[in-house]
Amino acid sequence: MQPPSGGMPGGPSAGDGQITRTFTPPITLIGTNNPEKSMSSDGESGKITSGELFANDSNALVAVVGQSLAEKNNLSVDDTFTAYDQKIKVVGIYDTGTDFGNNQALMPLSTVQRLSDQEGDITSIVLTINSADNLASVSESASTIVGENGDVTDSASQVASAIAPLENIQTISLYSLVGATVAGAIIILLTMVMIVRERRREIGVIKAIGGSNIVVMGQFVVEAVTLTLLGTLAGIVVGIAAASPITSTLVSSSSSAETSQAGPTGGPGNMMRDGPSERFGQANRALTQSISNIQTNVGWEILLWGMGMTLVIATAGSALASILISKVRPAEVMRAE
Amino acid sequence: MLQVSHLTRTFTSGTEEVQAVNDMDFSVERGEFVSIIGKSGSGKSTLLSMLGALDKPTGGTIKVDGEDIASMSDAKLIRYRCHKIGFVFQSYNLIPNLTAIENVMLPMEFAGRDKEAREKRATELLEQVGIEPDQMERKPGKLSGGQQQRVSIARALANKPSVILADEPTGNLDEQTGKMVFDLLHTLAKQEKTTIIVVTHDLDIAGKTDRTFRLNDGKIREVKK
Ligand SMILES: Nc1ncnc2c1ncn2[C@@H]1O[C@H](COP(=O)(O)OP(=O)(O)OP(=O)(O)O)[C@@H](O)[C@H]1O
Ligand SMILES: [Mg+2]
Repeated sequence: MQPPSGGMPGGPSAGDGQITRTFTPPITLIGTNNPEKSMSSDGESGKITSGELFANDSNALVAVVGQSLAEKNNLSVDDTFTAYDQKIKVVGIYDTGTDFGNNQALMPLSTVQRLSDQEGDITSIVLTINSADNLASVSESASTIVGENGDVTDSASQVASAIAPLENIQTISLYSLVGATVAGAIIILLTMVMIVRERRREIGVIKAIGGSNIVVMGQFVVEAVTLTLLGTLAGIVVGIAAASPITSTLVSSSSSAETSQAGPTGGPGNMMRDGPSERFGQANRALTQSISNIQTNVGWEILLWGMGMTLVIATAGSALASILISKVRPAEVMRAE
Repeated sequence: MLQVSHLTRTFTSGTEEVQAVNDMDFSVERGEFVSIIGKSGSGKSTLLSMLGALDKPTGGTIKVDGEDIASMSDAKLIRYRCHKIGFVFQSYNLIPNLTAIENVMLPMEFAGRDKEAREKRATELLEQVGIEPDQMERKPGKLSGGQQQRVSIARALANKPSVILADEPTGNLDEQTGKMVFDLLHTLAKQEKTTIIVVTHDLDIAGKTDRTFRLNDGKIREVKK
């Protein structure tokens, strides 16, 4: 077999004979019991372009071949090539969308173990964890099981970096919430000051014709509370409507920044092995995908918090209004406007 | 029924002290119609504010039916204003977002009278001052100055006060309307045996009252006829 980039013929199939390079990139042959996963590289899921995958538990002399490799070696479905002195039948051609991924061939795990005399040996096991929260505990159990026989690496840092944008968003949201509350409070207080100012004479008249401060305050407290409640209601409606689009915008902007850092670093040369970085890239991609699919919910705590703040602001507004009202001297109404 | 002695009101603006009302002594009988004249800044409005408990004197006493309002608690002053005093202002001072009839009902609401009684009395008063039924439902902005002043007279009479204090009630009106409003005040007060103290610049009007006082630099002096 010949790698697509040219060079020394790696197998018995006829080469072009012109040997000018001293370096031959090896062909990556992966033995796997999960061809579906293994033909994916770097988060790009591979697609079968012709033929089909072998079964997970197959031990036949079969292979699925990456597109570039197949083209270079003129292989199509039902053709055969030689490896470990055996005729291997091509059952499928796949395309991962990347040159590196397309320059590989997959064979059933037990077939490769048998042919290469590595019965029972495996290079790597991929564990898929249902939730990022369980990562640490699963990793720990895996280490216990594997013991001295291997290393367990996990994608904790990838998980952390994938979750980082979420945490950023949480921080941004919290600051926005606090900022909006402070702004709201200032607006309500200023509005109360303006209302009292504008109606100073009216307040004076009511006092002059026998209304107590409490009578006037009652009126203004009703107005302050109504104003704040209306504001809160509008805020909640707008908040619920806008939360999803805002979150998606924030997620896509901050997570695209994250993924571009985690580019593919796996190079050729890992015969029968998935590059660990490739695996991490995959994990990272999956996580980012689940973050972009995130659902935005307006939590009850936030609503309650908002209601609480509403109450505080309304009370502060009313108190301020009351102080201003009690300062209005009724004698002022004697002055002409 | 109204006895004022050594009444003083000093304003301090910055470092300057203004004796707006300076050691005044006078008394007014029940049902009397009294006018106060005097040039601008002589202390007329200041005196009226203190008589109506809108402002507190810096010295002296104001005895109304034997009780000194200068030393009353704030809560008592509110009740005094509500039950004993009716105000008529130069600039009407009706509540802009209440209708004419609601404006007249307002002091009775503060006095704690029930809605039915308030409506009945307000309608009667407004009829007496010559406000048409359709005008009663209008807000002050849709009434003429003379009509607004008549509504405010009805409001001043609402709680059957013992004193009506009017600060230039005809000041914003033309001569004819002013006379009409003044006559109205006069007749209604006589009917209800209410004491009236009116501040005016109009000497014709002053001439028609029972007694006239002239203020000059915070001092009071009765004008003999
Ligand atoms: N709140 C106040 N602070 C300081 N000075 C005041 C205050 N109110 C009134 N004065 C002063 O007291 C004096 C008497 O004022 P007042 O309003 O009683 O006059 P007036 O006789 O009603 O005048 P006008 O005929 O123009 O209404 C004036 O010199 C005025 O400047
Ligand atoms: Mg005045």
